[in-house]
Amino acid sequence: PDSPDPNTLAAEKSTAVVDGASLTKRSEEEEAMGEQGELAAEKHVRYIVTAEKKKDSFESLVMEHLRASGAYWGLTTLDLLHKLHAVDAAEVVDWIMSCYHPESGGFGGNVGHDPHVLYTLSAVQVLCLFDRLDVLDADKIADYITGLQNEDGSFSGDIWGEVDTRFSYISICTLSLLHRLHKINVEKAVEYIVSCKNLDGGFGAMPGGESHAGQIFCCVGALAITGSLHHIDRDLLGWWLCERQCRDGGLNGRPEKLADVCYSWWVLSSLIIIDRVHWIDKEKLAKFILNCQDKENGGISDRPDNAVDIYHTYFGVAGLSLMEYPGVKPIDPAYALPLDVVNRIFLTKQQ
Amino acid sequence: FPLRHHKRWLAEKIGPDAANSEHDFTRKILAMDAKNYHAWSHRQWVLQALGGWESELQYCNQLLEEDVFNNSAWNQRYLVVTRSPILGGLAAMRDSEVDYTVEAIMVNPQNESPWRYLRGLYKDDNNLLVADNRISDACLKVLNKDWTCVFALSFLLDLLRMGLQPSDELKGTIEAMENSDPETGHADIAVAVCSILQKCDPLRINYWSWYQTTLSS
Repeated sequence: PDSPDPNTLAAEKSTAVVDGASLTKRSEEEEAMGEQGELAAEKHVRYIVTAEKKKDSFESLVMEHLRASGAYWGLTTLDLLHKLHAVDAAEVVDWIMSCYHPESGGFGGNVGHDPHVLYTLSAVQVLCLFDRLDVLDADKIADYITGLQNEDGSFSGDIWGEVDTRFSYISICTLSLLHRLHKINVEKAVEYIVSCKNLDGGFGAMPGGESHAGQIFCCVGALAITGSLHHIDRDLLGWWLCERQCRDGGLNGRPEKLADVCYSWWVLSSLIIIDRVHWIDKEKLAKFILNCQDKENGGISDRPDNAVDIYHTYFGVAGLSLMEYPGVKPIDPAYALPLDVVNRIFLTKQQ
Repeated sequence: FPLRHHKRWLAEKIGPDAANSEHDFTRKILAMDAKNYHAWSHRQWVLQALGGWESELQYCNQLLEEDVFNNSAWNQRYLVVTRSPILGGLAAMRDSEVDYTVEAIMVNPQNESPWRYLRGLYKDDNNLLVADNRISDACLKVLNKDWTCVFALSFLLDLLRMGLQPSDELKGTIEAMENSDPETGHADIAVAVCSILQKCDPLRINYWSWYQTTLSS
C-alpha cells in the first residue's frame, strides 16, 4: 500500500492494542454484548430508509436545514449495518450535488440553502460512502475551505464569520479526505486548537470555552488527522472523558449533565484515539445504548423511552461499532466513516 | 443558530455599544436553558471582543445560586476570574475563590463542578495547592460524613501524589475506611485510597488500577 494516512493507522493500531491482549477476551466481550439485549438492526434499517422517503414528516421538517447531515447520519448507519445498497446511490449522489454551490465551492444543508462547512463535510462524507468523490471539483472545495481559515489559524463556518473548533475539525477532515490538507496552514490550525485546550485537559469551542465532549472529539480528531496528538495530555483528558460515564452506564458530555446516546460516539471515539477506552465500562455502555432502541419501530433515542431520531440512531450504532458489536462494521474514530471506506480513500492512490 | 452569528457580524460592525444588547440576548436564552452551549459561546465571544465584564462575576453568582450544579456557570466563573481586565487576575482572586468553592462543596459534595474548579484555581502550582490546608481539610470533612464520596477520595489521592503529608486525623479516617474491608491494609496511604476508589467507583476500576501503578513506592 502506498502512503497510508499514518494517523488513521495509528488509531486502528490503538484500537487493537486497547481491546485486549488476547482474542479470547475480545470474543467474550462480544458475546456478553450480544446477549444483553440485541441490536434490532433490521428495524433500524427500515426506520432510516422510510425516514429518507418521508419528506413531510415532523422529523423531516425539523431537520430541513441540515438534511445533508441527516443524509450522512442515515447513510453511514446503513453502511455500518451492511445495508447501504438499500438506497439508490445515483439518486443520493444527485441530491447531494444539488446542494452544491459551484460559485463558492461549498455545500448547503438542503437545496437552495447557503453553503456552510458543516454540510460540506457531510456531503463529502456521503460521497465517500458511495466511492463517488469523482463527481467533485476537489480543488474548488479546497479553495472554499482555505478561504475560511483566519489569521490565528481558526476556521469560520461560513462567510458570516462564526469561529468554533468544530469548524477546525470539519475543515481538516474534509481536506484530508480530498487529499488536500496541505492547502491550509496546518501549523496555525493546530496552534489554534491547542489554544482551546483547558486545564482539565479538555477543549471548548474557543479559548476559555467550557470543555464539552463534542468539542473534544473535534479537537482530538483534528489533532489525530494532522499528526499532532503529542499536544494532548492523554492521562488527564482520558480521566475527564471516563468521568463522563454515569451510573446508568451511559455517557454525558460535560459534568453534571444527563447521559445521552450521542456521547457514546464523541467520548468513545476520543478515548480510542488517545488509547484510553479501557477506562470506561464498555459492557454497561453497550447495554445503555441498546436500551435506547425502539425495538418495534426502529431507531435509537437520546435516552431510554424518548422519541427516536436519525441523529441518535447513527451515534448509537457508531458507538456500538467502536466497541466491536457483532454484525456492525468497524468505524474510523477520527474520520467517522466505516473503516473500509477510509482504507479505500487512503490506501489507493486517488487524485 | 444562523441568527446568532448574523447578530455577531452586525455586532462587530456596530462596536462596543452592542455589548449590552448582546449580553441581554444571551441572558434571555440562558434564563430558559442555563447550560445552552451555543449561548455561552456567544456570550464569551462578546465579552472578549466587545467587553461588558463589569457585572459578569455577579451573574455567575446568581446562576450558581439558582443551580450550583451548572457546570457552564462554573466555567464562566473561571473565565471571569482569570481573564477579566478589572478583577486583577487569578492570583489576586484565588483566596476568596477557594472559600467560595469550599463552601459550595460542603453544601453539595456530590457535585463534580466545584471540585474541578478548585483544581483550576491552582492551575499548575501543585505546591501551593498542597499547602492550602482549607482544601485537604475540606476533603477530610466530606469523607468523615461520607467515606464513599469519589470526588473527595480522588482529590485527596491527587494531593497525596503531589506530596501532601497526611495528618494523623486523615490517616485515622483512611484506616477506618479500610477497616470496613478487612482484607485490605496498606502501608502506603495513597495506595490505600486507590484501592478504596477501585471499590467505590467500579465503573472506572481500570482507571484507578492504572493510577495505582503510577504511585511509586
